Amino acid sequence: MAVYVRRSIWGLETPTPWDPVTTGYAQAVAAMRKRLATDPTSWAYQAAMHGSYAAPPPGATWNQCQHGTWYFLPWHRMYLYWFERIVRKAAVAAGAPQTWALPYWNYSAGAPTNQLPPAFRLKTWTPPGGNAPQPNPLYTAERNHNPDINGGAGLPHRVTSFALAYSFTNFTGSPYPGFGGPVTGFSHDSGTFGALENQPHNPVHVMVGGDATFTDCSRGWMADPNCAAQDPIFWLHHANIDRLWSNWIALGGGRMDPNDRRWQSFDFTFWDENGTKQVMKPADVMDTIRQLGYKYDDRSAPAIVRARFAMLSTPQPPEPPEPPRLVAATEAPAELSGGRTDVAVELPQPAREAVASAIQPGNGHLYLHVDGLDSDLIPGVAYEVHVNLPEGADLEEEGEDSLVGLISFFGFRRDKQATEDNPNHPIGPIGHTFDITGRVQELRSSGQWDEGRVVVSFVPVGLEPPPGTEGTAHDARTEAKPSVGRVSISFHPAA
Amino acid sequence: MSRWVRRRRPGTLGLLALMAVAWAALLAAYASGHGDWFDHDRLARGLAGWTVLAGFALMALAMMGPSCLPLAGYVSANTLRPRPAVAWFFACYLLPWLAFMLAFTAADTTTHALAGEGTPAVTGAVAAAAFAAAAAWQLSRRKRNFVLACRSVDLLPARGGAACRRLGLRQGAACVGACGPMMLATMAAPYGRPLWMALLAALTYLEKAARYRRRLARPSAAVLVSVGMAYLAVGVR
Repeated sequence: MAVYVRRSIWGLETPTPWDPVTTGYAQAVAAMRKRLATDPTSWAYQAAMHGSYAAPPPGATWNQCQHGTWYFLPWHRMYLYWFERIVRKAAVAAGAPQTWALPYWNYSAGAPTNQLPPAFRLKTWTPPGGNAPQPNPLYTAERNHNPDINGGAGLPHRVTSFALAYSFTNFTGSPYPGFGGPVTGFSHDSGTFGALENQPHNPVHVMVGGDATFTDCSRGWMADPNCAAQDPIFWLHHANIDRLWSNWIALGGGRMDPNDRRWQSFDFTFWDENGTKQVMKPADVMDTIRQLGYKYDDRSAPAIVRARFAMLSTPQPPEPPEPPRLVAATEAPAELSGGRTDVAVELPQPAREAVASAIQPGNGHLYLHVDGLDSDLIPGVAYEVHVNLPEGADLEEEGEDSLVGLISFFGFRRDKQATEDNPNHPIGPIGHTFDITGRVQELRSSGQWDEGRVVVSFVPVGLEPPPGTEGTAHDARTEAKPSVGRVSISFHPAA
Repeated sequence: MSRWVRRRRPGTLGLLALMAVAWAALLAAYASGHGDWFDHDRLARGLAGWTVLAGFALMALAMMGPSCLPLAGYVSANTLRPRPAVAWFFACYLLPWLAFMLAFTAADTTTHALAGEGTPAVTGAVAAAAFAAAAAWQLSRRKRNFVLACRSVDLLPARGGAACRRLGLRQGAACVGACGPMMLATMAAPYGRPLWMALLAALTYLEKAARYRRRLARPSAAVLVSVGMAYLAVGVR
């Protein structure tokens, strides 16, 4: 079997945006867009398989994307694999090399890679053999303009970092939420996200897309699962997430895919380059080289696990003996204003006992949950979540220590839309879970822990303005009026 | 304490025990020839109201309780005092079912008082109509929306309390909407009532929890129609 190599788009596009791979991709996108939406190899059909507001044609496999589940990574790997075959056929037909493979966008490698690759920002291009500029198939205006990502605004390091995700050695289960996500059935809903899905996957989506409506695709494509795959950069973003999964496995140290029949044998349906239906399951995609015939040009993952997160890897039995129990929670929703929002969580006696127990090594984990997200729009920003962030702290310089993770609204829908007539809308609220055992331990050992309450701070973080422009990622704003329904703490005792 | 027991959410183990007791009581009653304790015409036969209510509560607990367990787990996981929260939630979940069954009993008793006892052919036709109506409901869009409402949850305040009671009432009402017609068919079934109860309990659980729950609509409707036709053909003594 030939092994295709997926390469970094920034490497390919240096020094010119129009290298053969990017050119082939643009030509294939243009060709696929000309096909009917009922054709499984068309751009519209492939995008709608992820999600769509349009009514599916009879028998169509639309609205299949898996989020908030342990199927998130394998489903998207299969989705990309079959999409890549369709694109390769179209690209080769247009003159691209036979070895064409989907590139990936590694936005975590510092400037300028945190910016959208140049070929995706150009409004026009001149295809090979053409003699006049025409609309660039890789460009769309339905992206973040606040600041303008098509104008060179970049993703901030705190958003593109995969350090927290890589600190998990478990794919699912405890410590929660695991690298790959929680055990679920078919999950076209959102629910609680796995660590890699939560960061960098989700915030990259909303920041590339910008504010979106969650009712149609009139704006902010990448921020809405029902529109995201229409943007050609979507596929490079997911190739990067797929690469991060491969590299996480390659790190070893107990990191492995679930050895669970429920995970390995769950069937999903896709379409190949000839428009033939294909059924695949996670067990078919665990080894990309042997089973799928592709690899990434980068197989090494830096050991970037931060010391504080390292304790997340405390070995736990695959099925902990007891479920987590809620020990403290806020009662009222909190609006996320334009700047920092502090939410105090009072700690009753059971919570104090849980904290005292959890800080002893091996006794269990303390989790912070942020649930019940609500908003009138999907905000084109993410929110840093800090535990006991000092008053007046300089976020650029001091925020790292108190940061426990990010929340974003990718996949958000209003519950009132959850009807069977609208099956692409999820049921129930979005949830985020962060392990705060290490942070609490730090605060206790430094004498900064308040036994009576925890202050959880939400700080908006958006795109970094284009080079040469004033401002920081923390200056980014959204038109949305988001809120969180509840902030709570649970304790999960160890065996 | 076994791992299985320790892994149950607080409050849900008690519910499981209650359901087991309810099923044991139902099966024991039928096995000992006292199945008429659970007939819908008990009021007409002059039985005390509290015994009617107790019988219905037992039926609702046994048949509708299992499908409610995942939601009871959700309530348990999201409240600071899970046991009372689960108890309140579940008690309120059963209330719409009791109201529904009592309303049916009252209507049935009134009908019999006005029209008298039917012939076997008429009774068979009524049972067949109940099964046909349940089959039609299985295929309707409104039924699907009720099932979806059964599976939807709000974020609960951690203190539980009134929110748990509201959730229980709302879920119970939605589940009456989803499964009420099948429950009526079960109550109208003159033969094999325990079997119908077990089948309905299993179907209700699968309709709420299974991935391919929508695929259950047509087979279940076909079974209901077939049984209804059989009653129509044979009549009911």
